[in-house]
Amino acid sequence: MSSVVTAPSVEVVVIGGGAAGAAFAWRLATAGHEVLCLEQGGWVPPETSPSLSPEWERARQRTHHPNPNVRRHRWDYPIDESDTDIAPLLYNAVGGSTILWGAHFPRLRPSDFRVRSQDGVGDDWPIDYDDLNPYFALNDEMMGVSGLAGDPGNPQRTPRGFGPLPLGDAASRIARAYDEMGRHWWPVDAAILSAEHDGRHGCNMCGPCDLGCPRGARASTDLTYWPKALAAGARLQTEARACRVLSVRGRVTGVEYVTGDGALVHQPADTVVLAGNGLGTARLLLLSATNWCPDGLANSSGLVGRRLMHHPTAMVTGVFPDRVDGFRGPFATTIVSQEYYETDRGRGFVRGFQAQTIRSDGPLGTALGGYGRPVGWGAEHHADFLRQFGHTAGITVTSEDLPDPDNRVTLSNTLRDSSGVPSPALHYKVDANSRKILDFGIERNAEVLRQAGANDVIIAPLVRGAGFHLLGTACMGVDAGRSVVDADCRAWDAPNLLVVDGSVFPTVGAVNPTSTIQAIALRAADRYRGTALPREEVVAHV
Amino acid sequence: MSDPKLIALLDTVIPPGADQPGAGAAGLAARVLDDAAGTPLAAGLDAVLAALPQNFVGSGSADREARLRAVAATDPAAMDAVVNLVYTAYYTDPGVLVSIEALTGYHAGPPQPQGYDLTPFDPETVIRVQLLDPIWRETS
Repeated sequence: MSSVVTAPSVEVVVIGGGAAGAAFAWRLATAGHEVLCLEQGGWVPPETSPSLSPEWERARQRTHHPNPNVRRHRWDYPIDESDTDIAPLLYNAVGGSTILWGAHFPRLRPSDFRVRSQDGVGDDWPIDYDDLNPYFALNDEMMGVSGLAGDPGNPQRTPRGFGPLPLGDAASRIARAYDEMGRHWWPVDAAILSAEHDGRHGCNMCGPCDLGCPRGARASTDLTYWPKALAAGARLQTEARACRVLSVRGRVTGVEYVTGDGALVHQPADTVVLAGNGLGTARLLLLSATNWCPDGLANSSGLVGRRLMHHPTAMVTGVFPDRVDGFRGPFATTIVSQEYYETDRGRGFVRGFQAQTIRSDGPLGTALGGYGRPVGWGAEHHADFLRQFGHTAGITVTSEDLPDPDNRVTLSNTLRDSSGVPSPALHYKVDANSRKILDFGIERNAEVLRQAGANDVIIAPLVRGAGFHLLGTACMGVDAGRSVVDADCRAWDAPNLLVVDGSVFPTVGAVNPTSTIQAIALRAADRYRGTALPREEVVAHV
Repeated sequence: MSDPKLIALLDTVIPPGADQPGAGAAGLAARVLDDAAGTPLAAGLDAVLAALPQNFVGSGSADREARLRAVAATDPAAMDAVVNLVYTAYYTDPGVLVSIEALTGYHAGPPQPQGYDLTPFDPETVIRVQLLDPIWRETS
């Protein structure tokens, strides 16, 4: 680091410009607050998406791989994944992991907020579904959501902004199978526009949403929240990697960050807001240990970094005798079944899973097996490839994960980032309850695929590369001894420090968390201002 | 000049098919080496090449496959790296993609900007399921 600069003080500094940080910054900036966001990555123009290049499938395996240890972009930091069953997947840029996501956009269910009182495991949240309900609606409007109201699997919600995305051949067959078996299914809520809106095009069914969307149809917060936040006066500093939150006893005073050219900047602030996901936020809190908090900032409970939760995932892939051309259409967003979401103790486990039908892949993705099993090599390779390519559809079994203090993020003893700052290390094992859920879900969904006409079913019992959801490492609660932040996301140990990302989840349900993360961030911004939307869902106009 | 053992390895992982080239014949050895350079995959490739016997190159295809399967059984992680490298080089090769297009009709170009046409969602499909009783739990 070549020099030290002290910047003028600001009211609020937000660390991380992804799903949560963008929503929080927009909400505060539009209310007239001074907001500066520090983002360690830069802007990723949609028109640079590899989906426009013949090399698109190579990019997915290399430069645009979701695991930063594979991708190794200069904006990334290495992660010690030597002690984890599930590998971390994330992106560092303006927009965060929404740059590379599939945009499946479900909400946690009411029971997900009351796991302890309903099922005797985990912890209840200090807020409930109704607290977040108006923020879900507001966030849906900001992100742009396609879907269909009326799902008997979830509380009633306002009509979706745009009609459902096309199901495609395979998902239509699977939906019919669910119908024949009397099971629940529903077209997904997707943060993908099915029609033009707000300067963004409608989806043209190209497939690889995870490589970015040159049409802007698939939402990412660089396209949704940030333009509006910047227009409202928020400032965004890119290539600014926070390395320490500064504090004195009982309050934070600012942030130290490193710029892209190696300068160390001292940024004073009245309030510091962390939005770096369950990995980055925990890392930063642990890095911010000082005399009055030797075990890490906001860590008097000892829970910073602990209770790391993913969504353990199994993959059940059906091979159909005829073509279903699953490479057509956004890969992650067709239909979902929540038939086995709620607890039934007769199944031998508590909580449950979501079954999400996904499409298939291009030639390389098919050969490498995607989330499933690679095509075999050797003399039978071509026959096996042609049997699978264009002939498969998968169902992901996404399990609830219960909090365990031994599943955690620590600082690595061996790895450091390009600025010499210790990297995070993951320590994570899939627990017995999740394993039972996955095994049950595999059986149920293999039945569905066979009913749908698949003549072969390929099982991946646990997908290691499915660590998109990094949650729980700075949990919210009602007791300072048993949580890191309160219901309004304020740190018990330093109330002018907020955590507004997935770190605050006390439990994680069994659905993709982004809409809930963003609803929490929007609510936290309002609570910072001393206000909140009414608990009933409203149609927001922004 | 490519290593004959590497070319034989590529042709063993993906042999020539009736209508598709083998990975060795497709001239992918240089690309595999470029892709491996500086990555953890290089160690896997080196380990597999080192474990193969000197007469691997001159052996018949069935014998080569048997020898490679023996290596894979003793070092599956290294073989996974080789498979990743070979498949990535092969299935992004323009000539290979053209052969897949000829066999399957799959468009060999990038997915954008043309995308695909799909039949729009039909609301009739949810007639049964929307009549189900709620399957989520009230909490208050």
